[in-house]
Amino acid sequence: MESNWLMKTVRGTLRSREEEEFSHVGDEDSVVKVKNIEVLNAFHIISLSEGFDLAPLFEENNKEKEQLKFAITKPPRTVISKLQEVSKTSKLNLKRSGSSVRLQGHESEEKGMVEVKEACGGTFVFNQFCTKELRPALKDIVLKSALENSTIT
Amino acid sequence: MLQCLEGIKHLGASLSKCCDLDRQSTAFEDPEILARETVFSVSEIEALYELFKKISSAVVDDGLINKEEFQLALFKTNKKESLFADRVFDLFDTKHNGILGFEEFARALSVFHPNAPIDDKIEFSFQLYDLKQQGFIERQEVKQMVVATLAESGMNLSDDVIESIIDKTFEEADTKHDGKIDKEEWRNLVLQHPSLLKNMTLQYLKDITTTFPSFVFHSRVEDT
Repeated sequence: MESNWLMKTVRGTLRSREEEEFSHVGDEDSVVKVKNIEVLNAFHIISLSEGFDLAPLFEENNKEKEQLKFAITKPPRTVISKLQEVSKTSKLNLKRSGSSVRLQGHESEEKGMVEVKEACGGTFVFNQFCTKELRPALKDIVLKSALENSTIT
Repeated sequence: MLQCLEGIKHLGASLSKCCDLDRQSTAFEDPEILARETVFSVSEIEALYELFKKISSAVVDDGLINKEEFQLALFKTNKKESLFADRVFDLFDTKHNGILGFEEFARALSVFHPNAPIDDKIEFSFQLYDLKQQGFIERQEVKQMVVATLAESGMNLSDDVIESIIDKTFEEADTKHDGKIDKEEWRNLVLQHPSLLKNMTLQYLKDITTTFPSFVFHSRVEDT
C-alpha cells in the first residue's frame, strides 16, 4: 500500500508541477489529509536560511522557538501520525492548512508547526518550528525517522 | 592630463560625500523625507530609528551599523559568519563603504515591508542570489547557496538529491535554456511560486511603532 501511494506521488511530480492532494491510505480513524504538497525548489531551501531571515532584528529576546529541518524518505503521514500522538498527550489541537500541520494550544496559540515539501520522488523535506516544551517530543520524530531510515546520508 | 582627471575625480568624490552627508543629516532631522521616499510612515521611520540606535551602538557607538553589529543583531552573536548575512549587508550598503547609515537601513528595510511593491522584492531577492553580481544567477551559485543553507541547518541531503533538486529548479526556471536564470526568468518563477519571496516580507515592520515606541522626533529647531 505504501509503495502504491509513493508511486502515485512520484508519477504526479514527474508529470506536472501542479500541486496534488493526497490522502493517506490506512487507518480510517486517523486520517489527516495534507493538501497540496508543493514540489521543492532549490530556492525554497535557500529561503529557509537563517542569514536571510531578518526577523531577529526585531525580536527583543530569542523567543523560545526552535526550528528544525529534516529530510526523510518516509511519507508525511508517518510524521503526522507522530504529531497526532503528541497533540493527544499535550492536549493540543491539530490543524492543517495547506501543506503544513499546526499544533495549537489555548486560544489558538501556536505551539508547533510542521511544513512539508517534496524534494523529489519519495524524499520529503520538513521544516518544523516548535516551542521549547514540544521540542523533546518533536525531536523524537526526527531521530526515530532517521534511525528507521538507513538510506539517508 | 591624467593627474588632472584624477584630481577632478577626487574633488567630485569629496563633494558627493559632502552632499551625501548633508542628505543623511537632513534625513535624520526630517523623517518626512524618508517617509516620502519609502513605504514607511513618519512614525514608523521614528520607530525604526529607535531600532537603528539600538543596533548601531552595540559595539561602536557611532550612529552607524558595521558588519559586526549587523551580525550581532541578526544572530545574537558576532561569532557567526554567514554567506547570506554578508549578501544582505552588501545590498543594504548602497554607498559601498562597509557601514550602514540610517538612511541606507531604512530604505533597504522598506523593501521588506508588507506593503512594499512586489517588484521591489523581486529585484532585491534577485540581487541577493546573484552572488557574483553578474546580472544572472548561475547553477553554481544556486548550488553554493543550497549547500550553505543545508550546512547551517544541519539538514542532510545527499549530493544526488541536491543535484536533482537543482536540475528540476533550472528545468522550471531557465526557460531560455542558457544555463542561467536572468531577471525575467526569476520574476516568472517567483510569480509562479510566491512562497519563494516569503523571506522578503517582515510582518514585524507593520507593528514597529508598538515594538519600538519613540518619543517625538528631535525636530529641527528654528534658530532665528
